[in-house]
Amino acid sequence: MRKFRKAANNSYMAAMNSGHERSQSLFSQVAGRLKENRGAMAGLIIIILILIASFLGPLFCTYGYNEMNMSQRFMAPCLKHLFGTDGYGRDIFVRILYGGRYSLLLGLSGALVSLLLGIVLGLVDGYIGGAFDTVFMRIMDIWSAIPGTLLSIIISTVLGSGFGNTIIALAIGSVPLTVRLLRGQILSVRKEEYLEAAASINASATRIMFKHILPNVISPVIVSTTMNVGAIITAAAALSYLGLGIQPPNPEWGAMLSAGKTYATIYPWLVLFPGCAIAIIVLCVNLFGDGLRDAIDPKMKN
Amino acid sequence: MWKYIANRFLWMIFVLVGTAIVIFTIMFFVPGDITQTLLGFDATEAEREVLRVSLGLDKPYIVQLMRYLYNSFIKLDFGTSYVYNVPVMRELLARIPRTLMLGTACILVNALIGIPLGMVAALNQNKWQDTLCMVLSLLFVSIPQFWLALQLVDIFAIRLNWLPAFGIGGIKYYILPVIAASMAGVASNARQTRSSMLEVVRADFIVTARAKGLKENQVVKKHMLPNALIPVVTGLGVGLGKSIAGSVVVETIFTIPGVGMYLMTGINSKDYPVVQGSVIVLAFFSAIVMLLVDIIYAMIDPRIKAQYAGRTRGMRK
Repeated sequence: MRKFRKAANNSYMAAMNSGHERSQSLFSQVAGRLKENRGAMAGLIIIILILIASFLGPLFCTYGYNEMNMSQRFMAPCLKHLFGTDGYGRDIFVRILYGGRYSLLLGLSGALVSLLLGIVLGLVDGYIGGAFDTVFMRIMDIWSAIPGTLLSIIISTVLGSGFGNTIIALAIGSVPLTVRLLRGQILSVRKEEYLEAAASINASATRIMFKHILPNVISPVIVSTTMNVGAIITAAAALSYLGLGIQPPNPEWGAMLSAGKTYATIYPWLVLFPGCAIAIIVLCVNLFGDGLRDAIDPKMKN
Repeated sequence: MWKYIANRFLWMIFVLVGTAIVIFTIMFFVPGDITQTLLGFDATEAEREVLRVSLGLDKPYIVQLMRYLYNSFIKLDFGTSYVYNVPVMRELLARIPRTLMLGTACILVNALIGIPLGMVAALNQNKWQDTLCMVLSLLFVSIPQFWLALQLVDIFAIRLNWLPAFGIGGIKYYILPVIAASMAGVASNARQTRSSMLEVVRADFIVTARAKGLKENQVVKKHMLPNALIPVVTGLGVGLGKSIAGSVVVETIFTIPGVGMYLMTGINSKDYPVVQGSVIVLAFFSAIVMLLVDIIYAMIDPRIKAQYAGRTRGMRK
């Protein structure tokens, strides 16, 4: 009896090792591969550090992010002001720390909103299909015919500035991409037997959509959303640079660049530090996104 | 093939009309009273009403929309700028060449630098050339365009005084804007080329080509490139569409009086005809680009051609 159990156990182990990978959860597989990717982990760690620094950092600083000091205008970087001061004598280091909140939160929530909108629209479209799909995809075509940056600028003009409005303006441009990606995936699993099985035990439409279809089609969408975060952070900075989106005196990095550009030649630190901050954060997000793509879809790597 | 092109063309017009409807609707519901911008705060209600009637703003939404579509697409008239009192179409026609020139130059730079870089990286996979290309391209994808533009102006125009910082004139005036606008595209193009080259590098037909005894550069030129470049063409098209839309930022920084800058002035002064006209024109050009991409795609990818031919035959039955 014991021998039999051992044999069964052995054959089970063999099945586990012989590439029957599905038995290990997809999540832990992806996490495992992600951990081995040094670039992705470095990106992730720096993002987390920036997130912590931007929320906790200003508490430990001697200056407030909006504390003006007219006797200390345009001071070069020194020990007292690590990144120097701006035209109102405000400490640039504190402003950059604080501004990290805007960039990260706008990037993450913009990507998240567009992901959620895209998932709902994509699932409904993929599930109903038929004539609805034809009409719906034409609408998506029109939606994506207006280039994303342009759409963000217009929506931001219409809605006005402010955090929530800016998120919507940033998210709306990338919804059609998510919908299209999801629709393609759904079309490829539509005829799968497990969906038929779910339908045959009388599962409701919402249950089929969210329990059976979504987990099987979500991976590429998550990858594209992660890649999107970097683009959204840049777009957010560009919006404030153009005078839309987050407004001064809030220390958004794009707004700081826009305010500093007049003095850029004489006081280069006014634009150097905010620009580097944007580039570093976007670089980290992209590194992580690349790593995630390789981890979810190992084929892509080689 | 012609049927495919005609089909795509009709579809493009439909999309453009849709775009116009969307933009008109968005601008229609913008809060704020345009008469306040034009007449100032101390105008009487009667004066405002007269202006509204003369601009046709008193009519219901659907009437205004229909009239706008009729004017824009049949009479090719985008209305008159509220602020400058100049026909929007005339102003746009003068500005379009500048935006197009910027976009075309960007796409040329993208293709001429990005594709070779990606090829070098792919052919030397995991060697130092590959690492260098990928690190650089990751870096340039991450640097925001407007910041790069500011730094370029600071270094090459103000400190070194080699190139003009803003405005238009000869070719010299386009160098900095084109570099600023195309670096991100070059980088993403190199990444795209690399990954699609890597997909074909180990394909069976490449092994066959080598087995036939073809020289290595023949293998690359005749067998790898044509197959690897198909997704790259799409990438370039998307890039051109993006740089036409992104012209808003670059033109604003370098004060190039193109369509993008016109759009920005329109937005800042609440000049709706200007905003609507510029958006439709920008969408028109990105639609044309996508149409061209589809056509080129169909020409270089035999699968699409065959599929389409098959479908039309099926429909005729």
